[in-house]
Amino acid sequence: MSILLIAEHDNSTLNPATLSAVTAASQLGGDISILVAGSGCQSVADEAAQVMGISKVLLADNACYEKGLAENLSVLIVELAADYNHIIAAASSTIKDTMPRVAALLDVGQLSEIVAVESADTFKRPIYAGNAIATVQSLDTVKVITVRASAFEKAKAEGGNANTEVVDVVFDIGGSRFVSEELVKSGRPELTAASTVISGGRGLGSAENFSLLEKVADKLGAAVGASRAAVDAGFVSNDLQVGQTGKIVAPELYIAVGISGAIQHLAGMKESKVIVAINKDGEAPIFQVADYGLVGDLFEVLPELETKL
Amino acid sequence: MKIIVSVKRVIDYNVKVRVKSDNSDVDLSNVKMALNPFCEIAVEEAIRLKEAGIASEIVVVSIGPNAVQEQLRTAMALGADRAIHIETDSQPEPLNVAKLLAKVMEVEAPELVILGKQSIDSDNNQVGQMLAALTRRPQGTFASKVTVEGGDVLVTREVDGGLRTLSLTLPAIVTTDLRLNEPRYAKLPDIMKAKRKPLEVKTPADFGVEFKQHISQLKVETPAQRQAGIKLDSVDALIDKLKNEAKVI
Amino acid sequence: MDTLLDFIEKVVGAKNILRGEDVRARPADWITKEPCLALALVRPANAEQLSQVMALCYEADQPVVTHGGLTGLVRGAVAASNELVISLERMTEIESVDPVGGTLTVQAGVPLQIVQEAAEQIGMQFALDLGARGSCTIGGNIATNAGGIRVIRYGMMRDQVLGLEVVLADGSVVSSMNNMLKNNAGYDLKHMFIGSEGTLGIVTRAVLKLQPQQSASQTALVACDSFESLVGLLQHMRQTLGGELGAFEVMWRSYYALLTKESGRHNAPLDTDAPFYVLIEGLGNDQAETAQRFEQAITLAFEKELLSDAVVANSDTQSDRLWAIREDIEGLSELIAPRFVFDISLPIISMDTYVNELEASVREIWPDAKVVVFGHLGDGNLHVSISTGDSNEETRIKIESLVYKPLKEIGGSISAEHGIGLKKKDHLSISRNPGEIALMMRLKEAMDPKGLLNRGKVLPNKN
Repeated sequence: MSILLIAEHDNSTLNPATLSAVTAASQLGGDISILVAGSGCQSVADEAAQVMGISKVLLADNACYEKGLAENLSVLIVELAADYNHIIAAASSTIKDTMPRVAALLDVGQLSEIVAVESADTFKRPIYAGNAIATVQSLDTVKVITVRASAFEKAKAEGGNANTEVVDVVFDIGGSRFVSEELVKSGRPELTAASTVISGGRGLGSAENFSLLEKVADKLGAAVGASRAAVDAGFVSNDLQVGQTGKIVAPELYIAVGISGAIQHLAGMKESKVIVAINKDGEAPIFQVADYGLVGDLFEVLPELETKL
Repeated sequence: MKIIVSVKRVIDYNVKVRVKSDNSDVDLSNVKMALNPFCEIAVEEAIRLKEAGIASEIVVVSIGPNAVQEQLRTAMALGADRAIHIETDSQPEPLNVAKLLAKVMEVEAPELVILGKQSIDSDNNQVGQMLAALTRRPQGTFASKVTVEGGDVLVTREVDGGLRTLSLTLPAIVTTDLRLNEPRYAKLPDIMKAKRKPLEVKTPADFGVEFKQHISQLKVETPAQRQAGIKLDSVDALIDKLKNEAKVI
Repeated sequence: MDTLLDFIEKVVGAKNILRGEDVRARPADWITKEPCLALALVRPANAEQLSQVMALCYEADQPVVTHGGLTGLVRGAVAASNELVISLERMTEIESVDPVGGTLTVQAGVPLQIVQEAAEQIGMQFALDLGARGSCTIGGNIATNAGGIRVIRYGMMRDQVLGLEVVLADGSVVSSMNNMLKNNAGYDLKHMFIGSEGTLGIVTRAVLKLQPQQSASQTALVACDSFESLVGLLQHMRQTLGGELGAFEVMWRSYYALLTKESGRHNAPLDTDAPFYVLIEGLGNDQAETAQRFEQAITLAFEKELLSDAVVANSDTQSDRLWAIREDIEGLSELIAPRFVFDISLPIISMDTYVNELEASVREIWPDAKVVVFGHLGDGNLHVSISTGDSNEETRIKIESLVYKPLKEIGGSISAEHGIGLKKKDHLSISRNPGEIALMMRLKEAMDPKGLLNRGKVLPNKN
C-alpha cells in the first residue's frame, strides 16, 4: 500500500490543513509520499520533510505550477499516480478544483470530503449539508479522496525526516491563464465568512461598551455580530445583526455575550460548531444551546478574556 | 454563442432530511423537490449572458427519471430555449454524469457549459471538473463573476482566503458559486410559454454511455446530536475548554 | 412594599425577581423601545409558584401586568412604576405530545415557533402562524386570541385551544386542561380567558390542537389591476383550490412599492405599477398534485384576467423571499417612522372605498402623509400604517378619529386581531355596544374584584 498526498501551500509555507490530511492518510496504512507542486517552493518541501509520518517528498518546482491551475496540476498528479493506491488531500479550494479532474483522467470515482476512515476502502462523508452521514466504499483500484480537515487531528509538524525527490516533468496545458488575485485583507473578517464570531446583546448596555467586545474579537481574529435587541437599542448598525431577520452564520466558534437567546437569534447561529454563552442571567435560554456557558458579569469577563487569550 | 446548462432535481433546500429507519438512505418520499440552488444560479447566469447579447441559445440538460422534466420546464420558464432530458431511473455517479455530458457536448458543440458547483444532496462537487477533464477543456470553478471577452471567458473564482480571476479559452466549463447572482422568479406568462418549448427525451444508450459503479453507499446515518452543554465557573476554565477540548482557538 | 417583594423572592428565588436597572434594561414596548418602569419583574417557574405570588399580591393589593414575548401592538403589556410584571419566560416546557389525539400540552411561555417545530417533529402542524412567531408566546397568543396568516384556513387562536390552566387574581388555580374535541359539560370556561388580554386571569398551561401536516406548499405573488379583480381572484382561488387555499395576503401598492423599489430592501419580483399585490399560498398533502392544482388555478385566473401578472416560487427559498416582503414589519417601521398603526376589520366589499376615502381625508390635513396598507383580505382584516412626520398626541387623536369613525357606519371593528390594550380602549364603543361593554365589566368585577390584573387595559375606567 502506498499513498500519494498532495500538499496545500502558498509556495512559502505548508498549509496546516495538510497535516490533517496526513492523519487521515496514516489511518489508511502504507507509506506516504507528499507532492509539493508549485514555484519557488523549496521551503515548503523542507517543511513537509519534517512532518511526522511522511516517507518521501516529491518536489515539482516549476512556474506552470505556481498558481495551482487545475489543468496542469491534475495531469502532473495522474503522471505520478501509477505508483499509488490512494491519492489524498485536504479539501482546499485548489484541491476541490483539481482532484475530480484527476479522478476523471484515471477513470475512477472520487470520495469527497471524508470525515472518517473506516478501512482502506471505506469512509464516512457528510451528505445533505451534513444532515446525514454516508458510509461509502470505493470499488476502484485507485482511490481518489479529499479530506475535511476539521474532522482529523493535525499530524505533528516536526520529528520526521523524509528524503526529497525532484519531479521535473512539466505540464503546461494552456487554455487557462491566471489574471489576478484579491486576497481578503487581514483585519476583522466578514460576518458570514468568519470562522469565529463574537456577538453582543442588550447586556452590553451601550454602543461604547461594544469596544470591549471588539478587543476580544481582534485577539481571536473574529467577526463582530449583534442580537436584534442590541441593534434595536442603537448600539450597532443593522448589518451586524445575527438572526432570522439578519445574517445567518455557522462559524467554528460562536461566542454570545449578554444575549438572552431569543429564538430568532438562535435561528441565525445555532448551526455554529461550538457555542459559548456569557451572561449574568443563568436562566437565559442561550445556555440551552451553548456548549460552554459562563454565568458572570460581562464587564469583568470580557477584559479578562482579552488579557488571557 | 451556444450555452449548455446542466441542472439537477434535488430535495428543496429548506426541507430537513430524515434518514430512513433501515439506514439505507434518506427518505425522499413526498418531499418537496426543486432545482438544485447552484444549478438555478447557472441557469440565471446563462440567461443574463443571453440578455446581454452574448449568448444566442441556451440548452438545458438534466439526467434522471421522468420527474426531472418539471425542473427542465422551470429552466425554460426562466429563459432557457430548449431542453434535453436523458432518462434513467438510476442515480448516476458524478463520473457517469460527466461522461454523458461530454457526449452531449460533442453533439451540441457549445462554447460555454455552466453547471452548479455541487448538488445539495450528494455534496460531491465533481461533475464540472470531471467534464472539463474528459473534454480536455479549461475550467473556472466556484465562479462569483463571469465575463465573456472575445474568445475568452474571465471567471472570478471564490477560493480560500479571497478571489482569483482566470482567463479561459472558449469552449470552457464554468461552475457557479452562491454569490454569482440572485436567480429570478418564473413569471406566469413564461411558465405557460415554456410548456411549448422543445424538450427532447434521450437515454444514456443513445449517447453510447454505459453507467459504471465506482462507489457503493453502504449505509446512511443521522449525525451525532449536539451534546448538552456544560457551565463553567471561570474565564480560565473556558479558555482551557476552547483550547483543549473543542480545539477552536 | 419591600416586604411583599421579599415574600415573593422566597417563592421564586433571588435570581427570579429582577429590580431596578435589570427591569429598566428590558423594553416595555417593542415599537417605542421605552424602558420597562415596573417596580419589579417576577418570573415564576410554574403555576404553583405563580399561584403563591398572586396570593401575596392579592393580599397586598398589588397590581400586576403579565409579559409573554412582548410583540403586542396595543400597549397591553406596558406596566406603571407601581405595578409588578409577571414574566412567563421560564415557563417554556413542552410537557407532552399526543400524536394520536393530535394534541400538545405546553407551558404558556413557550414561543410559538417552538410549538410549531414540536408539532412538525411528529408529522403534524400547529396551525397558528404569524410574523412574530420567533418571539411571541403561546400564553400571549391565547391572551390576545392571535390571528395571523393562516386564519383563512384554520381560524384564530381560539380554534386551536382545547384546554387551559389559569391562575386567577387571588392566586387560585383553575385547571381546565381538557384534551377532547368535544366536551359540552357546562360552560366552556376557556373561551372567557382567550382574548381577555390578561385582565381576567394569567394563562399558565394549555392543551393545543394540532392539524395534519400540509407539507406540500406552493407560493405565488400576483398583481391585480383593480379591486374588482382582486375580489374576483379571492373567490376564484377559494373555489379552485378548495380547502387548499392557505393564505391570501394583500399588499396595497403603497406597501409593496415601499418595501421593494422605493427602499431597496427587497428585490421586486413584479413591477410596482399595479394597485394590488397578493401573496397566495396553496397547502396540500401531495407535492405533485398540489403543485399542479395550484399552477392550474393561477393560470386560469390569468386567462380570466383576474390577475395581470404573477411569479411562482420555484423553491421554498424563493417562497421565503416572497414572504419576507410581506412580513418585513421591521422594515416598514424603519422606513416610515414615526407611524400610527391600525389593525381593523371591515366587510371586504367596503375596503376599497374605505381605504381611498381614508387616504383622501388624511392627505387633506397632511398632504405629504404616507398611508400604507396590507392585510389578510380573506379575513376582512387590514393593517394600516399612517405616517405624518410627527407623533404628537394631537396628531394621534386626529388620525385615530379618521381611521375609526367610518368603521362604525360600515360595521367594522377597531381591532381585528391585535386586541384593545391601552391604545384602543377609548374607542371600544365604536365596535361594541353598551350592553356588551356592561357585561364585560360585570365579568371583570366578578373575577378580579380588586382590579389587579392588567389594570386600566381594555375596558373603560369604572368611574
